[in-house]
This record gives sequence, structure tokens and C-alpha cells, in this order.
Amino acid sequence: MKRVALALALLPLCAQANDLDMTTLGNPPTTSWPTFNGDYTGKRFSTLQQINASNVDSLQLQWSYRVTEVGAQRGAPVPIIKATPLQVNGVLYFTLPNNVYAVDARTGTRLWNYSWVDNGGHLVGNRGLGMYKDRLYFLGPDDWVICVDSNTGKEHWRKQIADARLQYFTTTAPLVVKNHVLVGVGGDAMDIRGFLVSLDPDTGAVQWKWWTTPAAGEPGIETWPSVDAAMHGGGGTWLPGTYDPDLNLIYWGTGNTNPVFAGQGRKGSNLYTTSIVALNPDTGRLAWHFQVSPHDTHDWDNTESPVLIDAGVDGKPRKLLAQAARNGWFVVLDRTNGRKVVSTPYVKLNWAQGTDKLGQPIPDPAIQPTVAGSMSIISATNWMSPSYSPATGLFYVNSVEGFGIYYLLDTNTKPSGYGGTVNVLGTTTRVLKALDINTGKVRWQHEYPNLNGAPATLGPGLLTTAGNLVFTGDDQGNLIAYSAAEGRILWHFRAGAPESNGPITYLQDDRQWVVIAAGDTLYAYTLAPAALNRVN
Amino acid sequence: MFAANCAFCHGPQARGAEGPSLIYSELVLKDAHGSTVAEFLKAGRPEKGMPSFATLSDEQRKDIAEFLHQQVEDVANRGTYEIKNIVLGNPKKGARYVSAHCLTCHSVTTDLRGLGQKWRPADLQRNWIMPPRTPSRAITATVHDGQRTWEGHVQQIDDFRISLVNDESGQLVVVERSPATKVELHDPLAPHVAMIGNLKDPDMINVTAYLVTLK
Repeated sequence: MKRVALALALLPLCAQANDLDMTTLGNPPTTSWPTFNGDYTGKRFSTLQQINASNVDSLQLQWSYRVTEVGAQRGAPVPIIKATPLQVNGVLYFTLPNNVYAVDARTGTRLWNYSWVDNGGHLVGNRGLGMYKDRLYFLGPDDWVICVDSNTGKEHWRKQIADARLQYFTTTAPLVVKNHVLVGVGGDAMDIRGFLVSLDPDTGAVQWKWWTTPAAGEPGIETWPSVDAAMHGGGGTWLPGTYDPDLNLIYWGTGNTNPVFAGQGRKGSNLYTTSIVALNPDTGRLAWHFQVSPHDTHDWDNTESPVLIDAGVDGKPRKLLAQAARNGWFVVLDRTNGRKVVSTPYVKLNWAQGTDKLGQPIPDPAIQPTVAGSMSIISATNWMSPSYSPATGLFYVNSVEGFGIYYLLDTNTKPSGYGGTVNVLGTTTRVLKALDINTGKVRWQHEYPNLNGAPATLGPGLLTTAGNLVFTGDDQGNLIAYSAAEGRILWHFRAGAPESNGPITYLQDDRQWVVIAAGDTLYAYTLAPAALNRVN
Repeated sequence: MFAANCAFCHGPQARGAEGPSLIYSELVLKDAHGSTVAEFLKAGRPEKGMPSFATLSDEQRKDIAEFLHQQVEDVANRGTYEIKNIVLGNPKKGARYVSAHCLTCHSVTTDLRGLGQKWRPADLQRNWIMPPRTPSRAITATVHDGQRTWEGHVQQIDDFRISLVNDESGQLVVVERSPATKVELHDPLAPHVAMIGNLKDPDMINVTAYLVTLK
């Protein structure tokens, strides 16, 4: 009986084309979640307040959708949804490596699935999709961009952007800005030269390509000992960036420098790896850069979300950009020009000797991988989404505190690939931190008790709402809501696996929904009917 | 074969010298068992200074291709990486550090004896700073909920529950945590945890060099 009702509810949906109204893209997300971050700012903040600090304890699971048919993939023993779903006109779109799913947002019923057969690349994760009108953009792990129809999952075109034999691989969610599909790449093992590419949404034709390391004669080449080192200098672009339509600039974090742990063949600061860069989305031209991790030798990809914030500093309204970086450093910049506003560590660390005149941290030359070993922090965060709430003025990040011994393994004067390794010391600790954007100081934090520590490549993303809430999870399968201002735990739900993506929220049929992925399952919640009338 | 014919220009590990690195070479990456490399070597690319190796046999040219694939694999596959000899510190300085910092709890004639034979040096370096959590080094807890008290070693803890194994009965208890629940954790390795992030690299390296001498 229930099944019949579900089928009827789906009929109007199937009868009309699912077209994204492009004029709404970039607006604060309310009835939809049409980009990786919901809007273009990366704040992952919702203005919705139906679910709030006074009633969140009445959240009820409405449905769950478990992926059952994928099984073990190469290098990934169980499927883990790391994608942030898009929600457009009542359809949720999400991915696993090699798979796209469309699921009805009211019932959790699968509408279609698209599968890709890869020919190489890494299946470490897939962050999701970009959408343009009725088209979706998805990356195979082997450097293919695939455009599929949002109504049917039927393929429109495919385009290869790099060579998987050179160990380029692709996991990111494309970012759609105007008529540009912006796609980044990853890769470490063979010393890639990173780039960001802009494709035509209708054909996949390359509009422009911006390399993250300079070529001979270009500005920045003086930060490399040779053009050859810059040509293999790394700098992936494997998380989506953000966009300011008024300034017409996109902001992107760039990945670690290569060779990864062996810096002896690339003395210098190694621009524009491990940096935040601002580019013109129509031309790919660089407007400014700020290097958060100069001369990286610890695999500190600086790809974390550059979050765009409009806030007052010393009484004046400012256009800011904030990032909690993988090297443990927190920066707030003026996003019109890249100048420093705040630059300070957000975890205990030992590798910095203060900041230079631009506000960039100065790495201690004594703290880098050596043959005998050198102790430093492990990655203080990673790809899991941060969040900023304008209601509290706080930047939220799930950080990891811990140290490891870094070893140099490749002592060649021309090292290659990783060139080193790290042995983690004891148990690491996941700590949710709420940072004051005016000072970078911790306003509140929550240390998760866990004898097993935080996993290295998996972690919970964050969502904040105007209902004074932070949605996230721990590493033991608890989905958790905190009060955003104080950090009190208000709700939790025991899922089958740890939260593995960034939660989303939207209004549908006058009800506020929260959708969170944990392992191979999406969970969708609304308030219990009796709680709807309770106010914040 | 590679060392004799190619290393002068391309370096002993094919990373490049006068000639380019072959690790990222399109020709090498698309080759399978000499399918393209062997042919290429036969002709060379004289206009770019790459001589012909027509005098080598087909078998020898295939051997060079296989050697190149091994060099690529050594770079691309993290699983093949090996830690080098890390014992580079000064054992005398290490002994002084151990005397000053470790002998309240440890003794070189009892529990530290033979440490140098127990683990490979890189494992020793990690494990003397943060020893493996064997049952005798388990974190223990005392849990009060206002009425009852539980004690035992902790199996796992999160914000909502704690699992304890009673050391006498061996029984597992799961206690739901409420605001009234008080949890006191006791870590016998606390002095080691305090070293993480505070120990200086020269002390770490010197102590390791000393501990490997404890046979």
C-alpha cells in the first residue's frame, strides 16, 4: 500500500524536466541545495530556522537510502558517500566513485543510476556534482568529465582532461560559474603539474586552463630552482572553490608541493602550490595569491574551502575570505586583494617561526622530514567541509590534533613522488573548534572522546543554521547537533557508520529537512509534527 | 645494462641528469614489456642527441624497458617505499637523556633490556615515545552516576556511552552517559603522551641511537 502511494507521488516529478533555474545559483540555499556548498560562498550556512536549538531533540528519521550494489571498489573495501548531495526540485543527486545517483528527496526512492567504468585513477572518494540547467557534471577517477541528463542519467558528452598514467586522478565536484564548468585534479605519486580547467557546459570544450605552477619566464618561477622542478611541482586543485559574483573572482585552494616529503630538489617557496589563489572565471587569469604553506614538505594540501564572509572589521564592512588550512594555520584575508587580516595557528604546532611581512607563516627549516626522523603535526584538517555562521560570527572546523615522525626516504638530489612517509604517534584527537574570525582564537571547542583516534582520510563535515545549530558527527557513528553559540550537544543519532560528508538542509513541502551521509547510507530527517510549533 | 648505457645522461635511477628524467616519459608509460621502448632504442632520436642502441640485442633493449618500469614503480607505488637506516644519533647523548628523564619509571637492566633487538629502529623510535597499548597499559576508568560506581579498563568511549571491562569478572558493561555521569580516565601512558609534540628531534634521535644498543 505504501509503495503505491510513493509511486503516485513520483508521477508529477517524472513528467517534467528537472531544470535548475540558473538565476537562483549563488542565492542563500532555502528550498534547494544546488551547488557543492549550497551557495557560492562556502559558508554552508542555512537561514532556515524551523529546526532550531529548542526543538532539534525532536528530529525524526523520515527515510534512509543505502547503496547496496556497489560493494568493494579498488582500494576502497566499502563504499563511503563523501559527496555533498545536490537537491534541486525535489531530487537529490549524489555520487560514489564511478557512480551517480538520483534519489527522490521526499521518499528516498532511487530514480536512476549512472555508472562509469574507469581505466585507472584512485577511488579514494568522489565529492559530488555540478549542475547547469538540466545537466549534471561528474568526474570519473581517471580524469574524465562526464555530462549526464538530470532527468534520466543519460550521457550527453565526456571529455578527458589529464592522463591517469601520470597519476593524475579526479575526485572533485565540478563548480559551475556562469557558463563555465570548473574542474580540478589531484595526484601525488608521479609529481604532477596541477591545473584548473574551465569547460563549456554544452560541449566540454576547454575554455581556459590555469596551471598551478609557473612556466619559464612567468611570475613565480623565481620561487623554484628550475623550470623542470616547477613542471613537476604538484599543486592539485581537488576540492571545489568559491566565487564572488560582484568581484568576478573565483577562489581556489591549491594542493601540496611535489615531490611530497622530499624538498631538497625544489628549494624556494614553490608558488603557487599550497596557496589560496584568486582567478578571473572568464579568463583564468591570476588576480592575487596568498601562500598559506610556503615550501611544503609535509603533504599539507591547501585545498580546504576558502570561505567568503562579509563582516565588519574594526567597525568597517569588509569582503573577507577565511580558511582553516591543513597545516594548522587559520587565515582571514581581504578577498579584494589577498591582504592579511588574521594569520594564526588554530592547533598546537611546532613548525612555524612566526609570519613574514605578508602574514604568511615561515616554516622552521629544522622541522622537515629527515632520514633519522622529525616530529611535526599531522594534517590538522582535510577535505571535510568547514562552516561559517553569520549569526554567531564563528568559523567552525573539525580539526585533528596529533603528531607524527616524518621520514625522508628519497635522498636523491632529484627526488620523485612521495619521497618520504610519516609514522603517527599514539592516538590523534578530533576537536570541533569554533573560531572567532576577528582574532582566530577558539571561542569554544569540543574534544571527541575516542580511544581509536581520528581516521586520516575520513571525517565529518559541518553545516550551520540560523536556528543556532551546528550539524556534524563524530568518528564513531554518532550524528550530532550542537548549539552554535555555546557548543552544547542537543541531539544525536546513532547511524551505521561515521558521518562521511557535509550535511545539507532545505525546505520542502513547508518542512525543513536535514540530509546527512554516513558510510553507504543517506539519512533524511524532519521534526516530529508535535515539535513544529516550538520556537527558538 | 641501463647503468652502462643510459645512466650517464639519464641518471642512475632514470631521474634525469644531462638528459631528461624518464620517470614521467610518455614513451615509457605506454610501453608494455618493451613494446615501444625497445623499438625506440633501436632507432634513437639522433636529432635530439639520443643515440641509437641498435648494437644491443632485442632482449637487452627489453631489459632496459623493464628496468625503467621498475624505476617508475619505485616512485609511483608507496607500498614499495622503505625506511632507510635511521640510527644516526649520538648514543652517549641519548644515554644521558635516558638517565635524566626515564629512570624514575624504567631500568636499563630490567624492562628496557633487549629493547634494541625487539623492534626495527623506526618502530623502536615510535614505540619508545608512545608504546603499544598492551592490556597492562590499558586506559582505566571510574564511572559514577550518582548511585552506582563502575571500574575497569575502557574498551571505547564517546560522548554518549562508555564501555568498560571489569578486570576481575571480565564482564563488559555499557554505561549510558548523562549530565549526572562522572567519568574519570586514568592513562598509565600519560608521561609518554606528554612527550608527543614536546620532545625535540635531537633528543629523539639520540635516545633511539642509545636504545638500539640495549641488547
